[in-house]
Amino acid sequence: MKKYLLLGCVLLALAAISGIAVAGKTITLKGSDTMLQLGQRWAEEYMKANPGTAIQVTGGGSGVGIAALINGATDICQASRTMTAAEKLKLRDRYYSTGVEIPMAKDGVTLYINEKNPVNELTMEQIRGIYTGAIKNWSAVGGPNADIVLYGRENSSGTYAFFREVALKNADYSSSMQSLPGTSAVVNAVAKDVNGIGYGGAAYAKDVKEVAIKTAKGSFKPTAETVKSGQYPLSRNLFWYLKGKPSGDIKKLIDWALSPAGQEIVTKVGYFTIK
Amino acid sequence: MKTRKLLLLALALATAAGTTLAQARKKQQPDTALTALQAKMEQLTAQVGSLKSALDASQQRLAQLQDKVNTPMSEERITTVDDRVSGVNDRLLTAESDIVGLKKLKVSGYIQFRYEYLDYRPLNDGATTTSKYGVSSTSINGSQGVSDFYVRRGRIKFTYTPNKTSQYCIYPDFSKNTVTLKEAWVTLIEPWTGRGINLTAGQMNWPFGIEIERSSSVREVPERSQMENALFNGERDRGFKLTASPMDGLTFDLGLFNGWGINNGTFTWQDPTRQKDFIGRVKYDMGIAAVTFSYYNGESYAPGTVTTTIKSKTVPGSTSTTKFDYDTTVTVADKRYYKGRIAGGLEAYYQFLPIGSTALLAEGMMAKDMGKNVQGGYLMLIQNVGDKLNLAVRGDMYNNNKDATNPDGTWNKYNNTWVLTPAINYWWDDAVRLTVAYDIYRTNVDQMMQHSNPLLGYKLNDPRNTNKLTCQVQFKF
Repeated sequence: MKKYLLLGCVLLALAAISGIAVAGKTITLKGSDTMLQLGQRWAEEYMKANPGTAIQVTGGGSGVGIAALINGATDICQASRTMTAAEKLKLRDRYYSTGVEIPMAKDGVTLYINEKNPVNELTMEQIRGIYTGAIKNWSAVGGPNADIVLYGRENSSGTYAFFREVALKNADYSSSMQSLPGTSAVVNAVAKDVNGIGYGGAAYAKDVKEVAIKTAKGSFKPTAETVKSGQYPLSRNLFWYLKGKPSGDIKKLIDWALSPAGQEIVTKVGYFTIK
Repeated sequence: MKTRKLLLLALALATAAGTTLAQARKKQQPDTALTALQAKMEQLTAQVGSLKSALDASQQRLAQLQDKVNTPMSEERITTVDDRVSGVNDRLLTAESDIVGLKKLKVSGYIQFRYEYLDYRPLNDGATTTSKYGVSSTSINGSQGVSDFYVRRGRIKFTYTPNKTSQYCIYPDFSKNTVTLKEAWVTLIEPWTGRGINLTAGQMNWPFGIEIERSSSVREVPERSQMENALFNGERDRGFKLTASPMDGLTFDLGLFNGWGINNGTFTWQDPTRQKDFIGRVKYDMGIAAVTFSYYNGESYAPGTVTTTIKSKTVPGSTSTTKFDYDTTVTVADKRYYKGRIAGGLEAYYQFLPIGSTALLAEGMMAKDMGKNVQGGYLMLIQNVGDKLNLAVRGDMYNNNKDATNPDGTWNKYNNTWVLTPAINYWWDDAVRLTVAYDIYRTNVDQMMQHSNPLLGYKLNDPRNTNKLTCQVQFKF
């Protein structure tokens, strides 16, 4: 009997340590660089309305966020791509759950070029040709006679993975592409390089020119209408991933972010609401 | 009158003296002021002079700087700067190349350190007794408790993925005061269809069931089931395996192996027999649940015994030359047995409770081994409690001879061994896990004691408790 009593006390102590009933906990969000600004704005507004809750937001890329979710280093992973089957298996091995996926906003991955570049639109085939290295000169796509300088993201980025899957159809990026650590860095590089081209979330397109994508149905730039309807070919969802069903403070945060007040912030940051 | 004149004269002289003195003083005052003013003017002049000098110097400097700006950089200087930039660029490219190479190599591993406590381990005094039914047994007349610290596993796995079409692995274990090779394989990955078709050759896990390939570092209880330990001891063998995923979630494995495993004492690293064992497995994984079916067809081989007798003969007519003859007699013939197994497995994962997810893992197997029909299975229930704690309980049954009979021909239904293992796992951090588990054994002898089976006719002298407490610390990277 004493053994069972001792075992029960040990279990209770461990459960308390395990954090199933913790008040005033900091909620951590980690992952997508694309969603970093959005996550920070959500956090600021939510903490103003809920002073008892602290929210910490960091970037690193979707891959880093998913790894942190699997290791237990973050409560919520922000991701601009879906989890792979291998990542879901690792999460399941650790937490007996394939995770909970919540679409939080929509985005249209935008092609940025320098404001002085005369090119206005590209087809998906041209985009693929440029980023695989098959097309090396702007003159091949209606621009000046100059070598194309490629800027992109690191391979831990969800945007890198999404662009490779959808725009390049899983082909390899050109070896000449310069990998930069964040979308801001890509935009800065393109803004200073007349012959540069880069890609990233729609919210970051400042001081650069957005390239429309030409399809059989017309030429489209990423707007609320074209992204939500899917007319813009590089439309995607932006996700929050959790280990299991949300509860407590985390559920309140998610419900608020999906509410009209939270979705208004999505629009202000430059992305598009989920509904 | 004279006095009056003298007084007037004195007064005149005093007045003259005073006037003279006053004038003299007046003369001095303007002189002093003038001097001071002059000094001040000189001071100011000096200051103006130094300011002018400074201004001249600044103007000269400005002129020099302007000259510098306006003068184009010399070719030599441009070349020097260019060379430096190229050098930095080369170093950067070399560093990037090194990093890319290092990223292809993945090093992982884990260490498990344990404390075990058993109340009972039988001490065999060697005496043999025979029951009234003719069953002989070695009497057990004592017991000894076990309290033991040891390193159960210490492994490092090196996996190198040079490109999209191949992968290599070498995986040694450093526990038990020796180094053993667990895995060494190469995988060729087909790059065209995207259907996960690959061929693996070398020493690897048998692709059978669920439990064999499930790493010891993630398992919730200390050891695999009795059935797996008896029929797939070592979990690994040498051969090749073909894997394919024709659709998402569906995986097929087909393999050909020696069949002995890496722990076999007779064939430690090579198999001289001709027969190879075939394994096939199909798994459908839907995320929240997975089902597996496995099939094994092979042969067990028990080598016989050959006795060789050496005879010598003396050549007739000579005392010094000796010839040798050999007589070879087979005292025990080689035996070959059909070896077959079929197994079904189920995994289910769902979050019923707000405290965390629940998982159910279950496998059952029927097999033919060394001429005997065997069966076994386990069912394990796991409940997460928050992010750092889980509770698990496994029920495990194994019957190593379904057809065992008592000497009187009746079926020996007590041939099963049951083990119930409750366990607690706590994650100290993302690298360290603590486990406490308690194995509760019920063997056929225990059951006989409980049921007072009169057929075998013997009793043990001491009540036995073969239950085992295991405390483990695992570090995984």
